[in-house]
Amino acid sequence: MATPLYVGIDLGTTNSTAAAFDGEKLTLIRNAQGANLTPSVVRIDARGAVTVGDRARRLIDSDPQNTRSEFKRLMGTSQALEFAAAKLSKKPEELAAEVLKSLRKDVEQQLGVAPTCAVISVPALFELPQSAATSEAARLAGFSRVELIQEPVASALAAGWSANDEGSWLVYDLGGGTFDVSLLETRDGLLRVVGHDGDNFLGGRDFDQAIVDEVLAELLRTQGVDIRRADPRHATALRKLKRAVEEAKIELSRTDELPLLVPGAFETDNGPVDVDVVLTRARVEAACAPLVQRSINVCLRLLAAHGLEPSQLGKVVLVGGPTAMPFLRSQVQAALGAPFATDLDPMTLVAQGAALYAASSGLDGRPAASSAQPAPSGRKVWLQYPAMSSDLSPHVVGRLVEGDSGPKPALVRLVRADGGWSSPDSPLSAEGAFVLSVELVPRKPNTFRLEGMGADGKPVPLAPASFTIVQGLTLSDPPLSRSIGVALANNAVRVYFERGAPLPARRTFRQRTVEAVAKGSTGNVLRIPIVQGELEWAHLCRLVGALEIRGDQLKASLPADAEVELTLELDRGGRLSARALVPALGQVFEQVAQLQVPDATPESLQEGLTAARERLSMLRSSAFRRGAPGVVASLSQADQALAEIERDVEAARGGDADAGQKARRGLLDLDAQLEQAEAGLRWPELEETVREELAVASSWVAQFGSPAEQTLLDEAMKACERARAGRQQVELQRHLRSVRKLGNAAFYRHPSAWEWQFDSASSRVSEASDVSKAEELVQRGRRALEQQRREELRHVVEQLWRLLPEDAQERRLAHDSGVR
Amino acid sequence: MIPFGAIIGVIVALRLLSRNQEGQSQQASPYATNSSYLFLTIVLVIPSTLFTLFGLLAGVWFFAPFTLLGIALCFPWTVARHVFIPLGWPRWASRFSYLAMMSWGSDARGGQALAAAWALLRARNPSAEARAYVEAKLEAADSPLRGAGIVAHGLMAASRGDLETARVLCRSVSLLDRRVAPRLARKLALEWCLADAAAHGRWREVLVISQKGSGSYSLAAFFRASARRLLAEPHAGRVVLISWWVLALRWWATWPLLKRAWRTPPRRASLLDLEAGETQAADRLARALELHAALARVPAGHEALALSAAAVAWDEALDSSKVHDLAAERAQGVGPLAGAEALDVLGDEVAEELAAWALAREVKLAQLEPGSDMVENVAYRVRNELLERIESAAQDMTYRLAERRPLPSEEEWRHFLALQHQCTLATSLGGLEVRRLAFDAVNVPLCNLGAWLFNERQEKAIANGMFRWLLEESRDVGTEEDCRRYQNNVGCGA
Amino acid sequence: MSLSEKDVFARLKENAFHVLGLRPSCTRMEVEREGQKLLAMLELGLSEAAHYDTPVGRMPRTAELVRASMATLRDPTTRLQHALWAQLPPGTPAAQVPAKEEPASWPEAPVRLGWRRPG
Repeated sequence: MATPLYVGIDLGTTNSTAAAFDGEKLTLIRNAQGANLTPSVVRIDARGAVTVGDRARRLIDSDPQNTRSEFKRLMGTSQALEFAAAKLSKKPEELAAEVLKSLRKDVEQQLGVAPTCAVISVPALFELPQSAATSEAARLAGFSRVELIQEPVASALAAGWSANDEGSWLVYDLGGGTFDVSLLETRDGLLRVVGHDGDNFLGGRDFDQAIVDEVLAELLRTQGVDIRRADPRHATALRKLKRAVEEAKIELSRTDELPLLVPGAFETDNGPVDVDVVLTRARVEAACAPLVQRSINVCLRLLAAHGLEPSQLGKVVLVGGPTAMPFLRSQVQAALGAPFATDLDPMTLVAQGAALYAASSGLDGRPAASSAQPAPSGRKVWLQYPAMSSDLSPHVVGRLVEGDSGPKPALVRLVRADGGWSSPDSPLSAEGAFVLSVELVPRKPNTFRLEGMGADGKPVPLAPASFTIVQGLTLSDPPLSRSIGVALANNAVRVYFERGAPLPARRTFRQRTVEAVAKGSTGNVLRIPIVQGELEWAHLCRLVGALEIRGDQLKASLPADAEVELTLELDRGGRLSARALVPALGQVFEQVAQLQVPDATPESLQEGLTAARERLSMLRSSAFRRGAPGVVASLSQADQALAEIERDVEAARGGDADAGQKARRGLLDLDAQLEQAEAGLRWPELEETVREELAVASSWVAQFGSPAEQTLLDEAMKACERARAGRQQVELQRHLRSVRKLGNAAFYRHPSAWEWQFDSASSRVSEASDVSKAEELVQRGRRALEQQRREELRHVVEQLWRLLPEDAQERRLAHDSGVR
Repeated sequence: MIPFGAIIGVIVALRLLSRNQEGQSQQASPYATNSSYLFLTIVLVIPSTLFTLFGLLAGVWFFAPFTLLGIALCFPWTVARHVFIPLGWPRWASRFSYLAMMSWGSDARGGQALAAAWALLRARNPSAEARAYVEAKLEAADSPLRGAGIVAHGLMAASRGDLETARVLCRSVSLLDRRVAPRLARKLALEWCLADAAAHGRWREVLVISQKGSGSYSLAAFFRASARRLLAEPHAGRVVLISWWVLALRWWATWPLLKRAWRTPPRRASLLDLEAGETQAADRLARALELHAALARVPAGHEALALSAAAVAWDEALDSSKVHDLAAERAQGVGPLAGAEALDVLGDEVAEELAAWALAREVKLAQLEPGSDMVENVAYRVRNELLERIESAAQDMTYRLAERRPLPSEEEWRHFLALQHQCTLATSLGGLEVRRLAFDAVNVPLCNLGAWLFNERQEKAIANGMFRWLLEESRDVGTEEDCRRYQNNVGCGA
Repeated sequence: MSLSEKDVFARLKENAFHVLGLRPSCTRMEVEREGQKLLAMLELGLSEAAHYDTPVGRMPRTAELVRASMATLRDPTTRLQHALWAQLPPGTPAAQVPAKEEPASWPEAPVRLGWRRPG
């Protein structure tokens, strides 16, 4: 039997790596330059020739218009990258595909086979569109089957493969662009991801950026030159400076001081400006310290979420290039206390883990033609067994293939090739099947012979005659990193797949429509938004797709409150498909619209930023007023986040699309934070409102209400009290509305009620949507008032109200969902 | 010679004339029956038919076909009902139904559509052309939409296989003003609903429908008597059953139901049967789970009792120290508080399941045993769910009204019915309090919808239907202003 | 709007222990072993693995359900929750008793009353 080929690829922000596993040992793939790491840089020249890796990276400074890096951060967005000379624009997944193609070629050169299947690693917090884009890149690169594994899981798998101890681990993975931390646990040879956390936009690059900012600050101090990231003029120079800083940073782990000289780097209105500063290790460390602390905070948060102390950790595995910095190592060590797993290469661990995972999910990369054995003779048996098993005695299940001729065995047995074990003879069931448990030798490939015997005791040849199971640490299914669900019309989320659910997964729920869709109308659409995230309000989750039922597709009109059977399906590569069955029409809808990370334009970001700032200041004043110290404290965190987002928005305005995406996510997280803070304040506010309104309503109803209304009010007041005691917010608001209505009805029976309403409405004329019309109405109202025409006054007030602004509308938040 | 050619000519002329009049005279009563054909029948068709009949009696065989045609023209609905509809010929059914304009009162176009849709329902393999014909007829009946038109839409939905919509529409006729819902349409809607409910074994629904519907009193009474016997209700005697069977006059059609209802009703399963096998459960958690699982087998009518029993068992289980010990033991290695937390989560999960069950089985909350924490929790969830559904549907209607997005008349009516149905359900489960809150939620949007339909779109019949329902609600749970407003609105006519 | 008919008894019907045919006292390795065996049997279409018993009746077993159940039981927190619901074994005599039926329907009613074509 030829050795299998399991390929794993770490598609990184700065560098990519491939590794292969043959069931026994791991091999790292070397590229044409003989290196394990291939820079994730793609260059397309004027003739359209594509260069990938080191050769492309060398040109990134001199020819930035035609050389692109760090496109991984844009995966899943619609952002296209331009190549000026070739006049081409490429999507991020197309560029990633070029890198994958080059790695695939390296595998072919080293091992002689171009793999058709592979496992590719993705950051743990990748959202669905990003995962889908990665799968798409693999398909473009010529892989026919691909599975994704989360990077921390891959590194843990690789680390666990070579270690023997059991317990809790932390994988600290600081890549070029993302930071992931995962808490893992090994017990009984089984690896379990207990939880993960991370910062989707904290990476080595941000360290460089921090040092660049430091250098720019120095320029301002010493030469009085103010260089802003938002200025597109400086984009090239900044990139050059960043490269210099990158090199200096590596150098500084050996020396204490280093001069940084970039002559004539920046063009300003007063002529060119040189960069000439001395970087000291202490200064660099001081600049990076907040970033390291941020990463440590994430680790501590994760440990706390699972009730663990840092002292309970068995080991910390460091992954990623930036973790080589001695300063970072010592800080992390000091904060977490646990020893580092030292024998592992932080740069290639992920690829190794991906290759191991390919083995445990049986993803043999050999093309079908070469892996096919010469047609074996014997009765065909359909076998099911794990290609890789952590269990020392897994089951092997087999069934005779129906329709195959040849002598039929009555008994079967399994014999381990080393002769150390054999199963008892097992009779076949009525379905021609057998279920046997086998014994494995630990940490080795175990080959078994399948032997059949006829009723007469003579051997019957079976095909396949043998198979191999590798014993080792396994992980059976890739878990989902964030819950996926459907946004409902009331802004709630119906979760279809919980975080940690194994992939592939499929689930059907019955929903009901809240709005009618008329047959044949194109403008009339029922939207079913699909969201990803852990928050209970839909508007705080990320929209990852939407299923649309359009009027022009309908056989008959879809009434409100019709049943819709919605099925969501996720494959192992993170591709989402959705289908909606409308039983009343017998029609199925499958088009999933817009599976993309939304664009982040500087304008929309600015808008979001302004809104967040306003909300924050309102919240703060209301928190102070109510004396809620907990809320005030949580708002100071939001303050920091806001400052950071502001910086990113500014960078986005300077043309940095990646910073724009970062800002977009930051805003969403900030929203969630503010929402929480608001929830803490809402209840006391509501209680106070209820108290006030109850007093007002009962006095009006007592004066002007009918006996029936008095009864209704008494009942509503009782219900209010009950809801208040049970802290049922929605219920309380509902009864409050009811009380308000009764109070209002009584109030308007007062002879001067409309007069008062008119006074209050006319004082808000400046807010009206059409001020001149409103003023005209006010004049009419005055006349009506003078002439004591109550009906007309009322009419005027009602018209005025229509011109005044209304409150925000909830459903618009919930991604416009049309189902509940 | 009988001037049949002339008769038909006169019909066409009258038809054109009546159309012109519709266009010109606005003063004519909107509820008036189009009596042109009646006039024609008395003046021309009956005398001619009598004449041919006498001729036939005198032995002039030549008159035979004319006599038959004459008789057919005298009783057009009978011909449509017993000849063309069973044959599944929508075109002819619709034409004869037009001649039967007397039976359709103020909704002759609806009647035509109804006959066509019914014939389509009876057709073996209806052609696309026949379908298109019926759809055109339905469209013609849409402006304005009245009782018979609504039933026609219902039958059309049934012919598509969409029974749910058909049910909603056929039942909704009882909400309309009788002047715009002809008796024949009400009768047919009632019969269809009864047949449908019986076919699906929903005998409890048969009881409700037969009480609410109108137009076919004796048949409804017979179905009610049968359903009561089948459901083994007290005092459901055979005398009543047989009397209504005789009076309903549909002897052949209803014979199997009579036979079935005549037999002794089966003894009812009591909850005691269920409990007998379940007392061996040792600990409280298993006991609660057992009663919980037993809900899957609770017969209709015992829901409240069974739910209360399960809820009380859960109260006991969640309070029991043994169960806490068990949870703590199972939680070893997860954390010190995990056991207690898991029980809290369990409590929430149970409440959610019980509430979903209560909602699915439409348990009346007032019948639940008071004093149990779990019952309170379940009742709160059910109430909240019912109201949230109503609020979100009302919100949606508000948006649609704000955007002035019109739907076809029939769908406007269905949109209202969906909301009205939810309110009715909420009231029946949650009682007066939920009724008040539901009314508060739908009052404004429904009133606006009705006003829009009435004033701008001339859909007075269905708008009036909406106001009638709103009036009924506001009498019980609205303010005086609400009552007065809807009285006025209903008074504006249909 | 969080309640729907599909939720009724979901926690008994889709209990991970019932799906895998295990009791709450089983070990982690048993979960993996049983799950792997069931997945293999389902893949080969063996009738033995096609159904599982719950306190509310027999349910069809699918590969997705088995995989999800394995994941559920790997995580101690979710396992604890399922263990509480699985306290009642699926084989209780009550589970086998069919629900008391409503009086039988009269399916030919629409035909008899003229609303549908016979046959």
